Amino acid sequence: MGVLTYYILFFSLVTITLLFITLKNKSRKTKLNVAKAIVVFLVISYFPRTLTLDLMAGHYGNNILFGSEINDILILFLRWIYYFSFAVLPIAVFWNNSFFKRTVIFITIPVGLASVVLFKYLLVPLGIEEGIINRTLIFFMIEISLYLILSFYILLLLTPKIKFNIKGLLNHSWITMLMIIYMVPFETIERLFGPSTIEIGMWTPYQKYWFYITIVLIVILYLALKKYSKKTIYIALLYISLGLAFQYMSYYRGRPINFGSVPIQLCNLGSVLTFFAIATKRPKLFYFTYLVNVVGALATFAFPDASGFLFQYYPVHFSYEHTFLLLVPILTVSLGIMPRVKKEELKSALIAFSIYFVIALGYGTIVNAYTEHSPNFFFLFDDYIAEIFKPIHRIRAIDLQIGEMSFWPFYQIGIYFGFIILIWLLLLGYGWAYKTIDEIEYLINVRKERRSDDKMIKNAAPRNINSETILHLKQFKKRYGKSDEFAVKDITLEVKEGEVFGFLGTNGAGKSTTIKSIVGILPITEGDIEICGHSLKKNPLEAKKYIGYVPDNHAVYERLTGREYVNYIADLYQVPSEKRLSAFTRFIKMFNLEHAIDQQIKSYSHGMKQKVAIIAALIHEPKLWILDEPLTGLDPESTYEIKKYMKEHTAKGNTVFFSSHILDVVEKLCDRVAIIKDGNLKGIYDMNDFEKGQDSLEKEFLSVAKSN
Amino acid sequence: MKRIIDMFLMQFNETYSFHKKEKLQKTLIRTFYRIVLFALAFLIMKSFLGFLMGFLGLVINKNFIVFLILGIQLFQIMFLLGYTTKSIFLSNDLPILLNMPVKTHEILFSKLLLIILREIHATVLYTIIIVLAASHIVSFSLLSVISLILFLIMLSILSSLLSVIFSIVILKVRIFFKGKLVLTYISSFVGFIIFSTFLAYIAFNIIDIIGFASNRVFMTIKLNQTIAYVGENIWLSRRYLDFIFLENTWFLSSLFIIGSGLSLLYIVYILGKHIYFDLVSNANLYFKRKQKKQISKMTSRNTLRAIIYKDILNIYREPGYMFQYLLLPIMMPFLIFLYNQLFQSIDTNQLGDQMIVGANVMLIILVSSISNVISSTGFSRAGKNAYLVKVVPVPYKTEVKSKIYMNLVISTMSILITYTIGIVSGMFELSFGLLTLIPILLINFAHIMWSYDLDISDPSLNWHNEEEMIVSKNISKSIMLGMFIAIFFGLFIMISLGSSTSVSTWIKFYVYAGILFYIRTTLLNLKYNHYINTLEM
Repeated sequence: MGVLTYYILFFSLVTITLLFITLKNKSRKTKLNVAKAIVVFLVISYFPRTLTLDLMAGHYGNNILFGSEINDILILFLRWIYYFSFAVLPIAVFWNNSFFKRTVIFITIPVGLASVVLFKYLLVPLGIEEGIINRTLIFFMIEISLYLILSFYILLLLTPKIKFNIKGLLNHSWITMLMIIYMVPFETIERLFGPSTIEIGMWTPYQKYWFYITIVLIVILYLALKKYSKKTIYIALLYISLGLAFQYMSYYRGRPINFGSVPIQLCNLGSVLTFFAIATKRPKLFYFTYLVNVVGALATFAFPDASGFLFQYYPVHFSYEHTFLLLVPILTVSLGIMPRVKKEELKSALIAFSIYFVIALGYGTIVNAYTEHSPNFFFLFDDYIAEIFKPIHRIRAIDLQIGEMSFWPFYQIGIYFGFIILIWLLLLGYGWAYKTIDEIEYLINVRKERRSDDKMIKNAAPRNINSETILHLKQFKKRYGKSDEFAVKDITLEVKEGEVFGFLGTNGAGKSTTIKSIVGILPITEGDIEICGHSLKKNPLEAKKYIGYVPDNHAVYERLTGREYVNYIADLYQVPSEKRLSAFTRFIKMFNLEHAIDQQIKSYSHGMKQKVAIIAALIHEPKLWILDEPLTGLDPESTYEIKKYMKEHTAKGNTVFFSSHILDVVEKLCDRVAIIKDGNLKGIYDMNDFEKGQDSLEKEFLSVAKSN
Repeated sequence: MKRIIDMFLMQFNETYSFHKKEKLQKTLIRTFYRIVLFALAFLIMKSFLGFLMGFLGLVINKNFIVFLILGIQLFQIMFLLGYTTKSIFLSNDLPILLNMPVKTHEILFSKLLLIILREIHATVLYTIIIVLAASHIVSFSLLSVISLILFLIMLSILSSLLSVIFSIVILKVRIFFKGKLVLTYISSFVGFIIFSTFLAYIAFNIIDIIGFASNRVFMTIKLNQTIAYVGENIWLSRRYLDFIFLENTWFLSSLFIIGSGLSLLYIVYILGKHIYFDLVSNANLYFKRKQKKQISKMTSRNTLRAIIYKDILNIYREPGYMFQYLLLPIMMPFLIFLYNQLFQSIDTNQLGDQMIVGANVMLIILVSSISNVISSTGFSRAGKNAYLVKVVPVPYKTEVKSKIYMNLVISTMSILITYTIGIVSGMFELSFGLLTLIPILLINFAHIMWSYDLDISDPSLNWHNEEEMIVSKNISKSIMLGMFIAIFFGLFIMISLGSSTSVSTWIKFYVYAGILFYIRTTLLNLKYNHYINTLEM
C-alpha cells in the first residue's frame, strides 16, 4: 500500500469518527440530511472522471495493463463492483430500503476497502503517473474517501440491527448478482468480447436477438416483480433507471464536450429523464417517457443504425439503452407504480414532444450552420430515414436556406407528424393491452374463485337431499347488465317438498326473471338460490340435476322429431334406457302425441310443441318441476292432463313451481302462492286461508296490483 | 301510392336506424371520413387501372367501360338474387304486412323500393368508384360522367327488377325441393360436379394461356380483343354506349332502356297482383311428411355424443347448414390442386418457388379457416334453444368440446385429404408436407377455438330462420381473422425463406404456430365458463 492509501484511510477514519460522535444522538432526519449531503459531494467528486479518458475504456485486445492477465481481470472486476456500489449508495440514502443497506454493508464496504488497498493500481487506467499530483488524483482520492465514509456512515448511523438468515441471504445474493450484471461497465464488455466493430446493416440476427431479449425481459421482470410490494417494485425500477442513466453517462467518458455532443437525441435524453421521472413521479415527465421515449425505442429496434456481434461494446451500449428505455416505463405502469395513461396525459406529452422537437431542430440547425460539428438530433439533419423509406427522398430533396442555416421543411415536418401518428398508435396499443390484461386477470380470478368453491364443496360433508326445503331463494336480487335498477329486489322464499307453488305477478313484475335465475339461465346478481340444499352459484351442476324446466316460449329443436328431442334431453340428464322408455311411452299416451312423435317438431302446432317440452322436462322425474306459463295455448284436454300430472308429481314427494296468469287454475291447483310486483315480493299466501276466509286470490292479487 | 311509401318507410326505419338522433358533430365527422375513404378508394382504383394499363397493356376506353358495366350488371343480379328472394318471400315482417289493409302488389312494390335503394347505395359505394376511375383515365367530359352516374343508378333499378323476376324461379325451385332432403343433396352433388368441371375448364384454359411462350403479350391481345368485341358487337353494349355518351342512336337507346325498365315494372306489377300472395304462402308452409312407422329408437348416449349427434341431425336436415359447413372442406383439395396447376405452368426462379410455398400455406390456412363456420356459429346456432346449455346439468366444457371437435374433425380430414392428394399427385413435395402439416393443423385448431371464442363473447341468438343465422356477424369476423392469420403466415414463410435459412424458417413456423395454439387454448379455457355463465338470454 502506498502513502496515498494511508492518507485516504486516515481522512476517512477521522471523518467517520467525528460524524459518529456528533450525530449519534441526533434525530434520524438530521442523520439522513447529512448523508444526502455526502452523496451530493460524492457525485461532484465523481463527475470529473466522466470527462477524463479512462485507459480501460477502449483498452482491449491482448495488451496487459497491470502486469499480468490475472491482475487485469481482477482490477476489471473490482472496478465493475465499485461501479455497481456507486449506484447503490444514493438509493440506500435517498430511499430508505433495507435491501440496499444490506448491500452497502456486505458489498460496498469490502469493495471500498479493497479499492483503498489497491489504490495505486486504480490510478493506472486514469493515466496518473506515480509521484505526480494533479486535479484528477485529488478528486479521485476524495471520491474514494467519501465512498468509504458514506458506506460506514450508513452502517453505523442509518442501519438498525441486521437479522441474518440463510434463506434471506440466498435471496439477497442472487438478486444482487443480477443487479451487478445489470451494472456491467461497457469497458468490461469491450475487454471481454473484443474490439467494437460496427456493421452497418438492417435486421441482422443480433439486432433481432436484442429485440427478443427485450420482450423476454419485460415479461420476466413483470412476473418476478408482481408479487412484491409497491415499495419494493418502485425501488427496483428506480435502480434500473438509475443504472440506465449511469450507463448512458459512462458513454461520455473521455469524449469531448462540445456543442454537438449535448444529449438532445431523444433516446439519450430519455436515458437520463427516465430516472428523474421515476424518482419524482411527476406525471408530465413520466408520460413523456411512457409515450414519446417508448416510441423512439421501438422505432430504433425497428430501424437500428448499426450492429455487431451480440455482446460487443457498441451493440450492448446501443441495445442496452433502448431495451431499458422501453422496459422501464412499461413496467412502471403495468406494475401499478404510475396510473395508466389517459387522454389528458397524451396532450401534455404531445406538447412536451413539440417543445423538444423545436429545440432539437433549432439547436441542431444552428450548430450545423455555425460550428464545425454536425449533430443529427432526432435524425432531422441527414437522410437516414429517407434511406429506409426511399420515396421520401423526393421530399428530402426540397430544402430551404436561410443564411447559413439549412432546412428541409417538408421532410422535417413529415418526421414530426409521423412521430405524432406513432404516439397515437402506441396509445391505441396501450388501450388494447390494458383491456386484454384486465380481462385476463379478471377471468383468472373468477376461475380461482370457482376452483376454490369446487374444492370446498368436494371436502364438505354430504348433504341431506331429503330435507324439506326443495327451493330456497336467499335474498335474491337480479340486475341486468350494467343497469342501475334491479329487476328483482331482494326475494327470500322457501318452497317445501310436495308442494304445488304458484308464482304470480303483473306483467313485467320479474316472474320470468326469477324463474330463469332459478333454472340457471340468468346469472344471480346478489344473494343465492339453493335447490335441494345445493347452491346454484357454487355448485350449479349438482343443483340443476334436480330441476325440470318448461319455458314459456316452448323452445325446442325443431329439426328433430319429438322422440329424438326427448331422447336427447334424457341423454343430457343421463336417464337410464329402461326408465326413459317407460316414462316416454306413458307421457306420449297421456298427451296424445303418438301420431306425431316421429315427425319433425317443425310441423307441430304450438300446443304440440308445448307438450313435447313438458315431456322432456319430466323424463328424468325431477324433484323440482318448474313451469313458466305452462297452460298458454293448450287445448282443454291437455290442460286437464297437465294439472292432473302436477298433482301426481307432488304426491310422489316432488315439488311443482309454476307461474301463470290464470288465477282460477292457480287457486284450485296450488298449495301456496307468492305474488310479486315491480321486483318485490308482496306476499306469500296459503290457499287454505283463502278457502276458509271471505277473500279470494283474485281480490288479493288485484289489491296488490293496485298498491304502490 | 301513399300506402306503398308508408310501408316502405316502415321497413326502411326498421332496417336502417336513421331515426336515432345523432350529434351533428358525429355526423360531420362520419361524413368527412366517408369522403376521405371515397377519395382514397378512387385513387387506389385509378392506380390499379393504371398498373393494368402498364403491366398488361390493357386499353382503357369506352368499350372497356361498357365491358365493366355489363360485368357489374351480371354480378349485381347474381348477388341480388339471394337477398331479393329472402326479402320478398321469406322476411319476418310479411305476416305483419299481409295483415294490413293493403293490396299484395303494394307490399311487393314497397319491398322493391327497399331493394332498389340498397342497390343504389351499393352502386354509389363501390361501382361508381371503379367506373369513375376508368373514365378519369380516358378523360371523359363532365356531361359524360354525369350521364354515366345517372345510367349506373338506372342500371341498379333494372337489375333490381330483373332479380325480382328471377327470384320467383329460385323460389319455385326452393319450394320443389322442400322436404326432399335426399333429392336436394343429390342435386347439389351434381351441381357441385358441374361447377367444379366448369371451374377446372376455365382454370386449365388460363393455364394454357399462361403456358404460352409470349404469355403476357398473348394475354393482353386476347383481353383487348374480347373487350373490343363486347363493346362493338353486342347489341346491348351498343345501346348502353350510345345512351351514356349521347352518341348516334341515343334516342332509340334511351327508348330501349327506359322501355325495358317500364316493361319490367309492369311485369312485376302483374306478378305482384296475381301470384305473389300464393308464392309467399307456399314459401312459408311447413312441410309435413306422411307418418312412417317408428324410425328412431331411444338409444342412450353419453352427453358429448348426444350433443354431437343432435348437431349432426340438425345440420343434415337443413341443406343451408350442410352447404355452409361442408362445401369448402370438400372443395379444398380441388381448389388447392387447381391453384398449384396454375402456378406450376409458370417458369419460376428460386424466389418464385419460395413464394409458391408461402402461397400454398396461405391458401390452405385461408380455405380451412373460412370453412370453420361450425365454430363461429357454434353457440349462436342454438338460437332460442341456447337456454338449454345453461339449464341442463352438463358442464359447459362438454358443449364447447362438442362444437370444436366436430369442426376439428371436418377441417382436419379436409386438410389431410388435401395433403394426400397433393403429395400423391406430385403437387407438393414430401418435405413440404412433413414440414407444414403439423403447424397448419395447430393454426387451424387455434382458429377454430378463436372462432368459438368470438361466438360465445357475442352470440346472435335472436334469429328467426336459418337464413338469418347463416349470415351471422360472427361468421364474417371469423373469416376476416382467418384471412389475417393466413396472410401473416403466408408472408412470413415467403419473406423468411428469402432472407434466412430454411431450417430457421421452419423452426420459427412451428414456434409461432405453437404460440398461437397455446394462447388460444389458454384464452378459451379461461373465458368459456365465465362468458356462458354471465350470458343473459
